[in-house]
Amino acid sequence: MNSYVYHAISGSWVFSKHLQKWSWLSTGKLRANYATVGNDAPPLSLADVYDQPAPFYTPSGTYILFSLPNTKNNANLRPEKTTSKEVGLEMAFLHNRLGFDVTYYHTNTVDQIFPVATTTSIGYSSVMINAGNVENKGIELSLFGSPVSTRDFSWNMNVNFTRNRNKVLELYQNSKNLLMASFQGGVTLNATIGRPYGELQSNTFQFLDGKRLVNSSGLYPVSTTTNNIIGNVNPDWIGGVLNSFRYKNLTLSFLVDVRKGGDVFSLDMYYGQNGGFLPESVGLNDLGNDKRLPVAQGGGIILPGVTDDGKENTKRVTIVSATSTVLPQSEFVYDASYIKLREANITYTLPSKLLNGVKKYIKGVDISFIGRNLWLIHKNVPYADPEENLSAGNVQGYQSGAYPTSRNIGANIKVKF
Amino acid sequence: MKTVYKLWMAALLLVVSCTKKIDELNRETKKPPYVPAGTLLNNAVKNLSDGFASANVNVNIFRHVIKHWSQATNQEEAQYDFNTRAINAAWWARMNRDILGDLRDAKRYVTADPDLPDGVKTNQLAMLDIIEVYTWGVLVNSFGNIPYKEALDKTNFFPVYDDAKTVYADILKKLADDISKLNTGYSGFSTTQDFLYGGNVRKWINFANTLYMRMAIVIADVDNATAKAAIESASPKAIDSAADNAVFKYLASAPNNNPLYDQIISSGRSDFIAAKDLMDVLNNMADPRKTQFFGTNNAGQYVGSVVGEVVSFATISKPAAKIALPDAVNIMADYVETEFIRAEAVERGYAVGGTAEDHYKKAIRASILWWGGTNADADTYLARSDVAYTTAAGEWRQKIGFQKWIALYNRPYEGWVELRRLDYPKLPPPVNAKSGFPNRLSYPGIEQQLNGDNYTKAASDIGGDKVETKLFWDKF
Repeated sequence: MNSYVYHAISGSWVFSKHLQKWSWLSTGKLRANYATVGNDAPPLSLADVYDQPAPFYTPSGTYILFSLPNTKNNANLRPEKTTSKEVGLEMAFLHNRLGFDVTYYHTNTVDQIFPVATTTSIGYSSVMINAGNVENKGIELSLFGSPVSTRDFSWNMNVNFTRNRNKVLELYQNSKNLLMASFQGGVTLNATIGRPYGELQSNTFQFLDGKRLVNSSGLYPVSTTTNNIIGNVNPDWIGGVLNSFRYKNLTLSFLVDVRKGGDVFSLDMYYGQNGGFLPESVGLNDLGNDKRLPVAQGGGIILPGVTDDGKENTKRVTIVSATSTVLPQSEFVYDASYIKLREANITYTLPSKLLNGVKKYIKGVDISFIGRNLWLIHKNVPYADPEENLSAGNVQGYQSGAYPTSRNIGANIKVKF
Repeated sequence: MKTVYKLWMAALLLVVSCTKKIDELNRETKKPPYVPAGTLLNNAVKNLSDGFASANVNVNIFRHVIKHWSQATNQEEAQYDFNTRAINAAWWARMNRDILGDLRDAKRYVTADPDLPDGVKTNQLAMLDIIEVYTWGVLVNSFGNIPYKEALDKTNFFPVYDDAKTVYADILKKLADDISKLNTGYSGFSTTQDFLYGGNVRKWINFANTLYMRMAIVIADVDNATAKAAIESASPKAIDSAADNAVFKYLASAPNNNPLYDQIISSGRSDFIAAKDLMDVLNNMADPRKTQFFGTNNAGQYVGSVVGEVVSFATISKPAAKIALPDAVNIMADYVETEFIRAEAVERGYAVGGTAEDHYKKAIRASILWWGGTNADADTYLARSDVAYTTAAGEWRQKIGFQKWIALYNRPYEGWVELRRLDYPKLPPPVNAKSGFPNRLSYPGIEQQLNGDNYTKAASDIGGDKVETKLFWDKF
């Protein structure tokens, strides 16, 4: 039986109590905390067992098959540990009409337990181990204010802003790179030492003086290595603005969400152009002919770029049905920034005099209309919603078969008894 | 009274649940921690056979590389794109993880088994090693330098790559050793632990010798002495009739049917079609195997398509129905290749008996008969001036290379090795080829991420991790 100890300490100081002579200061609070939190291994990850593929039932007997599993378990796992340090400042002014809450945090996840992908030369494709030290630090800021506040009309505003930076400090054994996921299309998601946690790697162009290199056949020679960094899935920052207006009994509020930066690889664009499903794969070439015709019939395209000697490429190539057959994966990485009207909401509160007759039973009635995902104001990923992702959790930055985001519009009647 | 009874029952349940040891909650009860060695061999052999038999674009695309098949719609594989689908990584993982890992484990069980008579133990260890050598050979001949000495060690996540030539010399030595240890006086694995020969040790000896010949002839251009000695010793004991062929027998019912059945029939995939390169040859030379290799297009004709070019599926011949039967067998080693190697051995001056022409004719005849042709078909075909050994075009490399290329139909991986080695027939590159002809597979992309330092060194040692880089034995 193993036992492990975790500890935490936190404290806060409401300094505004000592500054009551400053009437403009409504609240002032400084807080700090330090905590270590443990996490256990997933079940059945200690002892090794065999997998059983389907047996062969034949007239001469049953051929039984057993196979080593793809993941090597580990009986010597330690619990993983997250240490977090945080300081925060909350302040409000002018009778709470204006205020902010700012937090700086710094967490280290050490000895994280997971099946680490290994070269299959070891006889497995992953091994359960305690690995690494990943650092996350960032700032969370929220502002609130009530610019107008009268009996009949009020305006409240809330602004949120988060900026996170993560970095891989240590991995396992002498590893310099943690393979977090391998995707269809030859793209991998990685955590490399000294780099952000979550970078996309794959093929890219070769460059000559910053210009795309084209070979003698008129095609882009793709890099021979597939560990070129083609994107970072982490956003620069995310934020949101919530405005809410009330005029007498009518309240209107709306939330705008913003994400700045972070990359996504779109398998849909990759295959969509490849298979000719998207309008991008058709059109006219510089000669005014259908670009999918053979070069001999005036079709084909000239890929922008330079040849070995630095001169502009002039060779026209046949592209048959596929554009992506000549484009490396890095071409299908998009900026996942967006601005969205995430939610809007209108609420009408029935005037209390209408309820005069039934006041004994009903205290109030609110009628609201709520809409979510109403408007994608700005984005850079073609066709799809940048927020769509193949999976949740750590595996980000990859779209495959992205669904359109659903728009929800609903009505709500709230009766208070 | 009733309430008291209920309380007692509740208390009893609590007691029962508390006596359970907490450790047992973390014990797998549905899967075994120990298994018989033969079941691991079964799994290894099946994975090896699946890899060779498959036409899955994620697994085995050598049918396109050697231009036996082309694709109607998807052209990436035919145009030598191995990275997008990580075909190289899948091939590497199959050989290392799905085959070698299991064989190593099986050896551990056999060695430690106190109840096994020594003779049987020796036979079993030799058989496990033969499949292991077979697999290492595939890895070397596909990639070049590979992790070998430090491979299959679950505590070392960063195995060093070894020089391909050194690895190859070592596995040839091991194979010779295994052959010398196989003893028909003792049994090997039981019938249901031996997919290839059902426990027949004599046939294992034939199989191992044909494998030895095949692996030795690969290095004949760079190490003639070793190849000569190996082939001269192996030839008399090699596979001498189709009855001794090493074949993997798939079942008529899923999931253990031939992979081609999944890829062509049950998936309904309308993509795999005959390549013009092979079809023109079959047509022009009235090859009796044509109707066994391929069916017709929708108009009833035998037509091949240009590899790498999009074409209407209906207009081109499809692979023959018989190779896509669910229970179609897959060849792992056969009499046909044994005779082709003997023909070549004679040309190289090795003492294997007979004439090159004689072995060449036997090889082609055996191929025609295997595919369902008659001796009369073979006579007619062999009498053609473009087939007969004395009149066929070119010197021996060309004659043997050309006929072997046809005979290795549906053995695409072996076809790829021979095409690189003999350099005949000369095949034009596919339309919009992504690279030159693949003389090897580039290392799995994820090796760069998972074993980066060793990868970088290996890539530079072999002269660049490109598909065009020639392996150590590929002199011409």
